[in-house]
Amino acid sequence: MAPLTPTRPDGALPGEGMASPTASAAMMLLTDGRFPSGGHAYSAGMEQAVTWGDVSTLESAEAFTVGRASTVGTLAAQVTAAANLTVMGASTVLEVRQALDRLDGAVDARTASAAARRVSRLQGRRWLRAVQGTWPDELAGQETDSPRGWQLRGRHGWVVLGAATALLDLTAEQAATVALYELVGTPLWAAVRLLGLDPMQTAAVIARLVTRFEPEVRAAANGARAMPPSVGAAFDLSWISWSTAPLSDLAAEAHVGREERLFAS
Amino acid sequence: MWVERSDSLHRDVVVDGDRTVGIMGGGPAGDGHRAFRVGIGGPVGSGKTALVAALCAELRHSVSLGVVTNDIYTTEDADTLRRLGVLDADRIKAVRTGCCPHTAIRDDIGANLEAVEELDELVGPDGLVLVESGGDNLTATFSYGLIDRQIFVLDVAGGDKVARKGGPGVTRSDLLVVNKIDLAEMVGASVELMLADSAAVRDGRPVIATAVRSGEGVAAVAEWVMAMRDAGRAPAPN
Repeated sequence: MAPLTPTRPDGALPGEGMASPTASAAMMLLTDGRFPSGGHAYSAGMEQAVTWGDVSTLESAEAFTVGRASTVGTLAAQVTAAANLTVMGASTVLEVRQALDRLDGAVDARTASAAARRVSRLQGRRWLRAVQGTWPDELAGQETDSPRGWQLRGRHGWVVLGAATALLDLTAEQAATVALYELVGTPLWAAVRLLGLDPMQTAAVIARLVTRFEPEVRAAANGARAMPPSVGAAFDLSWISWSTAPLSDLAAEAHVGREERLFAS
Repeated sequence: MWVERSDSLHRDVVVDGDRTVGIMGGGPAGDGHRAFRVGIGGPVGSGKTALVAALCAELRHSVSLGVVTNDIYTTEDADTLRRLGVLDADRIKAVRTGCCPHTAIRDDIGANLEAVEELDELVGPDGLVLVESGGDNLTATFSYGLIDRQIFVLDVAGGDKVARKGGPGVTRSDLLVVNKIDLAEMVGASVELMLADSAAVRDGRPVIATAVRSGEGVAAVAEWVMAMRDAGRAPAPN
């Protein structure tokens, strides 16, 4: 197989020097709402929250999203950063696969709702399809699919995103930022459609929240960077947050059983 | 332009000289990888689901079939097809489109690709998968990364000016179906005018007039679909 070491020896923080051309393009595309990774059909619990009457205005939509970002958002940033640095640092295919297995299990253990776990794995499939289709050369030879390779297909979205971003030269901070942006943007853009919110005011909320949670993103990357370089079965996950959002899990379960719904989550 | 190679996802990469000009998604039809895919789009109420059901009834004994529906709000269309019993329930899949049916068939086709790929296993490489879009507007067309050919369905009851208004569905679809011609007299519409307006903007691409409920024209549409499948299965030119 091709060497696992990425083309960019990193550790650089965003804003330090120039990102590689691949990373710059990838960062723009991965956070572009038009990037075909399936996000348009998901509301991340917003549709159910609107149905329950918990969200009816931009303010309550923001409060809902802050709740998710404060809990699930930390997990998203940490898992994505850890998957990114695992691929950056591991020296064998087996090491990568074992570490990704552990991260996958960590997401399972922190997601009480079966419906939410299923959606997360579906999102992983969509990320993988979109990234493979967009950057076939960068992902070629990395054994992303083969049974003896990393087995990215079927994994949780953040695990796939983290691994894929490493191949696209994104730093752990950038990878975690993409995950957080997705987590914040998905429910809020869905709220624009569900409630007829002002899209510019909504964009302003997204900008504010992504800025507000930037320290968590940085902390997630630093936490991942502090992982021991040797992974596999000894891979230390004790630093990954156990903070979850029970109401989101309940919403996911209520939503999946509904006949009339616009969104897939 | 010609098909140069299959990439790692079994898709046709279409090149013009050194330039990649298109990728036909999910595996090329006709080389044993997957079924032929026909998209069926058009405005709300024009008769898409009725046409899908009629095509299934017409073709089910001659080709292995699957259907993907893109319901906007419910699984109404998929349920209708199951109720009509035109196909086994496991050959009908519904995709949710998050308020944007055109996005799901044109800009962000991942969910539909997953649905058709799941059906591929059931339908087999010689089969046919019909992808019905959610009801949308005259600009909503399919990405050729999802389907091989597309049908756009208009109806006479929507007014005979619709064809004249044009839009990509009317001008660029591979087949335009003008449905409910049996209602023309009742709504004061001219079928002849619609067909003439359509022909004027379609650069020779075919138009078929139907009254799907009574079966008129369905055989012609089915014949076109099978001809396209057979043509799609021909070896790619070198």
